[in-house]
Amino acid sequence: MSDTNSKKVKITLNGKEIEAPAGQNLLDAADANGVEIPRYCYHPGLSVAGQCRMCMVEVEGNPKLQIGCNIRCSDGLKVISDSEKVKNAVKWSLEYHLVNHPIDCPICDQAGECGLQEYYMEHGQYKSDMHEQKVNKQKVVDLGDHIVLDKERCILCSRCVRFTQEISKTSEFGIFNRGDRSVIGTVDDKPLTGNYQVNTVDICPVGALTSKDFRFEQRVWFLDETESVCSGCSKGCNVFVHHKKGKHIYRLKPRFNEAVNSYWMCDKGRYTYKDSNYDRRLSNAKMAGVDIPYSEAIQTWASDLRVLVATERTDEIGVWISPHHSNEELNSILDTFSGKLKVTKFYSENIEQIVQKDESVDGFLLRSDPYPNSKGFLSTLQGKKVKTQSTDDLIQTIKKGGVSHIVLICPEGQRILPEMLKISKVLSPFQFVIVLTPQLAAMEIFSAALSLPTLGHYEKTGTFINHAGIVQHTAAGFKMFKESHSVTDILNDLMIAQAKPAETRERMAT
Amino acid sequence: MSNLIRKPTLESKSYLIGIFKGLMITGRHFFMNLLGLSKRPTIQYPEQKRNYSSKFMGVHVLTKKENGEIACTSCMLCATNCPAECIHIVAAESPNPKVEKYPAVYEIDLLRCVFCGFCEDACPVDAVRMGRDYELAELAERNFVVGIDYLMNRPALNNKNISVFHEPHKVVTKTAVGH
Amino acid sequence: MSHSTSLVKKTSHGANMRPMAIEQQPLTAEKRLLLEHEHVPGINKIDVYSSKGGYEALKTVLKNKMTVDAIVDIMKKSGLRGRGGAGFPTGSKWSFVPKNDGKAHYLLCNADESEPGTFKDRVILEKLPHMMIEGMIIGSYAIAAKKSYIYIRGEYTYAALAIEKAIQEAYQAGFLGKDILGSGFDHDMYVHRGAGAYICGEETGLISSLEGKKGWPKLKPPFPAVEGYLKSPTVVNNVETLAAVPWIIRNGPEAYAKFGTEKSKGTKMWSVSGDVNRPGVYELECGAPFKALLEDCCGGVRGGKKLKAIIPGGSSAPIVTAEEAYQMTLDYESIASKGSMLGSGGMIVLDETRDLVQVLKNLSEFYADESCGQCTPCREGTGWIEKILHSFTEKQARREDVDLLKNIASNLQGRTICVLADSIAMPVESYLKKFPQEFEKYLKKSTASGTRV
Repeated sequence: MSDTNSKKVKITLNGKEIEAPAGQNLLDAADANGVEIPRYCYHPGLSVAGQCRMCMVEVEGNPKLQIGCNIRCSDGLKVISDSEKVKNAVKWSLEYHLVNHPIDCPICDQAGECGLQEYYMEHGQYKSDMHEQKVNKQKVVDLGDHIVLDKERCILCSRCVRFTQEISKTSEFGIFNRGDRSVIGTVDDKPLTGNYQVNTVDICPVGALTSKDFRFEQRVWFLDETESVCSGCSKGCNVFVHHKKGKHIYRLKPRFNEAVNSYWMCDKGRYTYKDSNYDRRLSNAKMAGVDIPYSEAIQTWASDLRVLVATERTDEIGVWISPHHSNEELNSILDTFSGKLKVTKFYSENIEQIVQKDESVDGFLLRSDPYPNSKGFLSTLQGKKVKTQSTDDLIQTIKKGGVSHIVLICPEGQRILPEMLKISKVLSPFQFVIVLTPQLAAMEIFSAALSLPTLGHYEKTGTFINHAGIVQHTAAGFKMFKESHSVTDILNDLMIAQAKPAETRERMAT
Repeated sequence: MSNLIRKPTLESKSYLIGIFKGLMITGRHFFMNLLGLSKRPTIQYPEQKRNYSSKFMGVHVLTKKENGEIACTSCMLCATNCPAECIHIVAAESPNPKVEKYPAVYEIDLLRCVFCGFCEDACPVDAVRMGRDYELAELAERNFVVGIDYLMNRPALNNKNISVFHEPHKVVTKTAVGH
Repeated sequence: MSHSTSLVKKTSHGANMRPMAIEQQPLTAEKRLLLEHEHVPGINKIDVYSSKGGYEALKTVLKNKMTVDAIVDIMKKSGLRGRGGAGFPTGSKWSFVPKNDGKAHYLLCNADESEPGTFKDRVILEKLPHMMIEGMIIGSYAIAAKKSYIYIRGEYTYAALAIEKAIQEAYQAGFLGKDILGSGFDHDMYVHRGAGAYICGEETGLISSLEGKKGWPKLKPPFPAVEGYLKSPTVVNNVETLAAVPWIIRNGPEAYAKFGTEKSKGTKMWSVSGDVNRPGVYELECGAPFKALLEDCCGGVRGGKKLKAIIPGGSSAPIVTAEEAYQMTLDYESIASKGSMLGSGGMIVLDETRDLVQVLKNLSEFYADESCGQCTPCREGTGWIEKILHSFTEKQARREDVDLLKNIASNLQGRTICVLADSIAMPVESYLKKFPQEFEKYLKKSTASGTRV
């Protein structure tokens, strides 16, 4: 963590000597060396509370068991975390956690990734001695647009309380009452506000705080996990994409990256997956609204290009691009159009201005630049010596009849749709329009055009440069539609088809 | 190789004896069955039906609570456990404010189902049981995907499919299950 | 603090609110050091108190410009130990406060006397407030604290009023405020009234509460002497401890150390309640025999009945049987040798008719109610113990419950931030160990079979 200095000290953990930075939390040091000390209330991104009493360890020279989360690594520290004494303490701590827990796992969204379930399998007492009436508390408390609270399931680890105090600085959660009547809540069950609410769901070790968006949607053990980078703004928060066999994305979860987003992400970014999800996606290539095979779409496009190249009218090609694409895609777009086809008319939003004005919206993660790769966009354009004009310029040029072949490489998301609508209004049958988009909505705007489905953001392989110039790599983990392809692949196929039409047809047929 | 080929014996050469023996057996059974002298292995289905073992597993039954609501909490453990992946559940917020989660859709594809009974074993609330119905005949494939209405309320069940979990006097004996 | 003052005034007019009555003349078994002038009329007024040698100690300290080390040395020599329960040497506690660290230091007086059976501090607060204030000023001087707070139990309305009045008098007399007695030492003192939570009597819980937070005890380390109230070095002392300071300064540490045993010096105030003829507060020399307190001071067990057991140091102390009690002397070590603790000196005497399961159930209700809910074992364990003990008295106990109680209790001890969990776990263990027949009686009556619902 950031509060540790670089000096290394030697500590002994379970008889094995390990090295750790001086002052590092013992639990983190143990994690780094593959020893898991159970914990509920400790979270590396929050202050130490020491409430759950799960991380009991034996420290040499102290007859009493100590909590590991309140121990900082110092030279000569000797800790035992696997003795019978410790195991018994952990077993009983867990037993106390379960005394008043409703054990309603069948209807709990956390089941499958629940701290109680995990430690129960490992440290559980199995046969419970609790035969008394449990304390009943409020269930299904609506806390605004994103969160549902179940006070019965809560183990009062206070992670959410500390999160709202220390990270989101909204101080909304508190613990009310005392003893076994203690409950987590907001004053008068007021709804939560702010853009960082769902982080409390991520850090909740049990099913007390659950996300409304994910509520009852899917059991977590059905979900596959893919690493990616959020597409919501220029911050580029690292995320896990949780999807079922690549066919349906269910949620995004933040992925730890100290340099970018630490353990957190904003709610706005969290819901960017909705634009990448199956119900908003273009699944097939379409010509004037009718499904056509991908190969046929490429051939149609290529034949028009061939005419333009043969008659040396490539200056009639206009290409609209955005920084929503990876560096590799942008490179291939510029290589194809600027390099091979000598196109000079490139259009986009005024990205330079967006980058100049880019600032943190709320003092934390969310930034004003809505694109994940603006820095990459500018540097790629600079490298290829390409300048873009504005969307209004494109509209003017269309009106003047300066372009007859328009390629719109659309980004994902709702934000760009009004601009696309403006372009679609000035189009006439004289222009051949090709729309490369992952989204159904963009295709519907250009109903007469040739539409080719591209990959959704979370299916892409490539690099993105965030606002701070950090290059981040995403790796494809799934592909939602068979007929969708990356922009790079589409342009490659196009160039092959344009050069050798017959062979390409054969290749694609096989 | 030639020593492997047996020479035909006298008995097999005189095949008429064999044919005669066979006809005798056929004839005996024909007349005994005709006259009702032997125990017939066949029955007069569908007028007559066989007694199946008490362990027989037929078409699934979804049980109810005593108030007639579906007992299923849509925990999806049956779907998780199903080796044929034939159970499809869509969970939703129950219209009853006292109930949190219920299955808006619970479908079983009987053509995919292998009637192993794993779903019954997996269910924590006795919501799905293997029933005793086995007469499955439909005119279209899609009709074999059966929903809540058929699984819970088909006439053959006589509304007797009440979940053990929701009968208060039986819950008492069931509280010993862990916490 | 103005808020709390108005509260006092509103409720203090009640006619039946009187200071506690204790014996006018010292009994032969008593050794009154702190309560020496307790019976003097108007001793709660500054002029009467001064006429009996009051504020002499403060004058000695400030006029002679005694060094901090000298005061700490005196306290160490006197052998005074914390009278709140833990018995930590006061001199050592003061010496832990870092010197010249540029931070503000604080002295907090723990007057949140909420332990069932303990009411000794109330006598000092109501009758001898100036003695405690004098001790606090000396203590503050010793740890270089410019501000001190008296965290007083919310229910002690009369005591809070008395203290407020005494502080006003001390300000007027120039013992508080700027440049006290021309020494250049500034000091302000405030009264803060609690809101009725037992846990706020715990050192760090008290600090949290005073900071305006929920009264949750804090993780140690850091200890309050390093990082306490408002993250500054803080010393929390009990009322009785602070009240003993002026006497020690006035008469010298050797005079104080003459009293008591080798390890337990001086005198201890005992608040005796329960089945005795004369319940009340008595000050005895440490090491006095238990019989002197029971027979001579309290007039023996009420109604001539036989003694069954005593709880020596407030409700959280493990129980001591009658035989053990009669062998016991009233000092830290002797009581510890009987498996209990001196604690706060709140002795509860139980005669032969008392039902100890009911007593324990009653205690468990208190601790389950007062658990702050911070640490899981205490939050859930105290409630669990309460429910099991209820099942005993409701004739629903199972034979396994005895072992279960032992298990719960042993796994509560030393597993939490503060010692509230131990405060019920230790009694449960001791009751089960020393009086198993009481529980057996209930088990025989029990109608439970198998699993309860």
